[in-house]
Amino acid sequence: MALSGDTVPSLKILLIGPSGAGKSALLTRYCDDEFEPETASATIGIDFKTKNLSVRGKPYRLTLFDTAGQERFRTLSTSFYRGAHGVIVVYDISSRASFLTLDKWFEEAEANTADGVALYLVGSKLDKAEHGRQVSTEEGRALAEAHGAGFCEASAKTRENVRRPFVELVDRIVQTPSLLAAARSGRAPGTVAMDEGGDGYFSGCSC
Amino acid sequence: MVGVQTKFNYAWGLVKSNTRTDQHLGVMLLSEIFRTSPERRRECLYYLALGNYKLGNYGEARKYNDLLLEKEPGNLQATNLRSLIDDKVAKEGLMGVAIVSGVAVAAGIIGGVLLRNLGRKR
Repeated sequence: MALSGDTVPSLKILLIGPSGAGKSALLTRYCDDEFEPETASATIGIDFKTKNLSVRGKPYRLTLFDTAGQERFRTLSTSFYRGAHGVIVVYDISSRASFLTLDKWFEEAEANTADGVALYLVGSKLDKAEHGRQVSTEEGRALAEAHGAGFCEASAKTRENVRRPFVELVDRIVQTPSLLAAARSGRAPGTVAMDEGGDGYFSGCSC
Repeated sequence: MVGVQTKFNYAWGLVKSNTRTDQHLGVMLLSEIFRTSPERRRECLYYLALGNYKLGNYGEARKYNDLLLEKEPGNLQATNLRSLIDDKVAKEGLMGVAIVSGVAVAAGIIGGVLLRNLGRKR
């Protein structure tokens, strides 16, 4: 597929994390600048939003996949990882339990994406930091570092740091040539190029 | 006997397909799951609405979506789907009006020509 040079590169980003962490709230605040605490309902399957963002003076089109945290949707949600440039893992800083599930979520993200995919960890509900915090900033940062992920804490309610995960993640993607090349050519990272030459179909076998 | 989770996964995948026969089968399976598994009704309603929307059955789509909205008035996914359905219905309605008026104009022109010819012959 030949894309003209002036096409804005499209970046695919997934939001994952335990049910009730605030993935949809973060995304709705980021894309539409809306926040409705009373009406929160669990995402059904998957939701999708787009957002245009300029980083280092260049425009990008973000396609954001908001996955459901509930277990019943996970078996199919993994298929949405295909072609992702970045993954944002969200947990709730006011819930120890949500933090404790993160190993599983990182494992899922790392197992289903191409090497070098950009990862980011967000501790959400920062507005509860004073009265309800159950996970310290240091713990969150340490876990992110262990997985080579970016990190920040944010609040969809107060808008604090809402843009930061997206901007920093896109900045990471843009600085990873293999990820960005795939975005420019319109091909997803980690997918097979059927039209590429190479050594022939059978010659790869060394057995 | 297939588990409900597997059946739902299959139905969901079918609804996401671009092929009408797949979408149809998906909708059929979802209505079965809706009947047999009350704990799955929420997601069944949403994908029944989405499936029927893709199939062009906007009346059905709206019916299922409204049932979900009745339970969860603030559900953003259902709210978005409703405006998609409304847009589509409005567009197809306009298209219908355009076709009907187009036919009427054409009939008028042809009728006019015929009448004039008749007039000349007399």
